[in-house]
Amino acid sequence: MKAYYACLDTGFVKYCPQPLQHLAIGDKAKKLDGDVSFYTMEDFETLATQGIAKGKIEEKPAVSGIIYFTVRQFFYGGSFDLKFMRFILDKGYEVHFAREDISIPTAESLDELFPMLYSAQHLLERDEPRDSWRPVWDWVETHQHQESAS
Amino acid sequence: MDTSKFAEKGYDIVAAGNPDKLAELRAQIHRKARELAGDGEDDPEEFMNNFHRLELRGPELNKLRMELIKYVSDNLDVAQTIYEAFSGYLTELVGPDIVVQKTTNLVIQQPGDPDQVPTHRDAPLNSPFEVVVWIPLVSVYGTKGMYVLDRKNTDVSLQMLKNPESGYEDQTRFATEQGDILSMPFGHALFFWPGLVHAVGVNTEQETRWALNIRYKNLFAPSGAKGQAEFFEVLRLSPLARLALEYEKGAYA
Repeated sequence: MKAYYACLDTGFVKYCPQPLQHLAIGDKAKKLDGDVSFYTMEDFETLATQGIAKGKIEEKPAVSGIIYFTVRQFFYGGSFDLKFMRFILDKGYEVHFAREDISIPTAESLDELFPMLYSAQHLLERDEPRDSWRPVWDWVETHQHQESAS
Repeated sequence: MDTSKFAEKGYDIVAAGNPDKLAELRAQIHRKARELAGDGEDDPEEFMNNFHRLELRGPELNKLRMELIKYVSDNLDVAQTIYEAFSGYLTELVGPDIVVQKTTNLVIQQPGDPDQVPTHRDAPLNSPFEVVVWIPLVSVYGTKGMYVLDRKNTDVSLQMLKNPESGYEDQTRFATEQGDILSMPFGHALFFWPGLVHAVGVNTEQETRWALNIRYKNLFAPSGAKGQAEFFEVLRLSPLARLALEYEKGAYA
């Protein structure tokens, strides 16, 4: 049986609490004939960079891949973080998403799914009322302003 | 391609430009359904129309339906087939860069079955930029079909919901009385805007209704509450979009 890291969405805990995110990720692991061996989640301060997930991958864990709660976790930096997704795949790990039921096991599948991921990020940025996401976006905007000022 | 009725009323019934695609799809669904049921006619339309005579009820019926939906989802490329059958009309409505609902719904409504979808509209939960394609696998007429309120009557019915006491009951009654009953032979599809109020009543005819429904929209049109990546997958891209997305991919790396 395959083992996976679960990576919960810190920015969405208010709307989908951790136990529900665990259920969704566990269900995705079962669809992949696997199980979750460990879970992690970012701090608010690392949402945009996925610093904690990156640190875990650098440890070269004995898992087949990472199951995220949602693709939105790759959007917190203000655009789709294609570079980090490629980094994970280049390290030999699969990337999966529970909420969207999407699997990206290889660089080729990432190429195939790029139009969907790109358009999803653009629609979210353009159309979703910030009020529904305020705690996260307020933090991200503040953070971005601080970065551009420094 | 004439979409004037769709623009005015919010819906239209359209004959397939490529009906053979629909016939093959129905034949595949029929073969699997007959295998699962273990009985029934050789002819797809006869089998589906007379499905209630097999007297499958309750959990037995639900099991067959779930297995059939799984078969359809896993083995038949319904979204592509429906696109090929109606490509001209669909492209006219949503453009050349198309995303489609990931799963196709299959509904089997036997005569007298009291379990029915309530009066409702799909948008604003779904995106108002989608088009719903409803494809009966048998000829539909009277209560074997569905009814829909056009744009004008939808607006009237939505005003009724402002009455907290009887709003929903009033709307349902209005929809039943004023809704356009949709009759069409197999080989046609109903295209409707998701903001229209629609419903099905109890099927009081002597035949079972089988119908598919699925939603299409433009790649960059708003996705509604259901979410772009959650609800849709890419069906086709124009040469320009392919070029631009390749360019963007390079810029992101």
